[in-house]
Amino acid sequence: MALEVSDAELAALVASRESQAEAALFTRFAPRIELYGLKHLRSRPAADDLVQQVMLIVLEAVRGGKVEDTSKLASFVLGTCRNVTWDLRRAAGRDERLAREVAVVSHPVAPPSQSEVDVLRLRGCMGRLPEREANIVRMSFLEDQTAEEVGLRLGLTPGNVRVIRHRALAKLSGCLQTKEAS
Amino acid sequence: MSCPNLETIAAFTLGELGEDEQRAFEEHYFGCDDCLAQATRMQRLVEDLRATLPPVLTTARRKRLEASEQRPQAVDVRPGETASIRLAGDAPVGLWVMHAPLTGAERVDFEARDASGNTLFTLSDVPFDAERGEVVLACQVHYRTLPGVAMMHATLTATDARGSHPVGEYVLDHRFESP
Repeated sequence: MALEVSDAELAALVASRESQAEAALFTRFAPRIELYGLKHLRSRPAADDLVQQVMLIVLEAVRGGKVEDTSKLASFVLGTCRNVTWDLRRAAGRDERLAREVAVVSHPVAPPSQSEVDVLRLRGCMGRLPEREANIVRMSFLEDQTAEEVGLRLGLTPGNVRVIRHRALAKLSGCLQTKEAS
Repeated sequence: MSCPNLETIAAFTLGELGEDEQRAFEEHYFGCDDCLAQATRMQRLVEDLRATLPPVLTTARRKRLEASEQRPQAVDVRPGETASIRLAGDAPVGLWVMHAPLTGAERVDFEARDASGNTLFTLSDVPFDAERGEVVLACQVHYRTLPGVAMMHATLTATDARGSHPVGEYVLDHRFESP
């Protein structure tokens, strides 16, 4: 199914049980919900959980014609994300308290997920950053130092460290896109 | 809201936007394919950076790595020495434990050169353990594609109350085996 339909048109297709319309709805919104989940729930499994829960609620609402203004479907999905995230956080807080009570402590080490090409591409882009920006990226992300700690080492305020870090990430992202395209 | 620049998207990814700006950007990217793509790339970049093994390890990162399934081999090397490390598919990471007199050091810099003396790369203000007199350099099997790294000449420079001075020269021989 072509994805060039508007949100309202897509909602109408889902409500009329058009084949593939639900898959198209999922394709359109799942990445948005996942990003929201990563940002607010800070783990990929939790973000995946959020995608499933939100999409179920949205699909039921669209199928049942319960979305008042389907031209604002994106806002409806975002609102659902906010509500479900609030519930998940509350449940996570409860689980954390339980875990502390039974003293279940683990420190998993996430295996690197990057391919060799990814690593070398990133290294190449890091090499193009001005020294101060490269140092701040290294200290922040590879050495797990806070903006306050980096600032102390480099004689900068934490606010300055954050601004330089945003600039450096913007340059790295731009560089990686150029390298991917070439 | 119109599409923000990449610096704002970086701030969003790190959770460093104000609450109002954050909500505004969320409302925007839910309806904007371009910003969704940029924010997804930025999220991946930050995750990749956090998963990347740094060239010089903090004590905490070394402990985490040694407790992981990778269990990298560690080779001690003292000033003036040459040492070898084998890197292959079954040994993707190796640690050089470079010993040096670092008591009183406030900062340590690292320089790597090829066999002809050309600078390969420099790392400023690297992590070090002053008490144990150690700087731990991590080498990975995919470094084999970087020219000049196979036989690497390294220098540590310490800065203390007396100024900056070299505290150790090392020859690090990487024996890369085909994956």
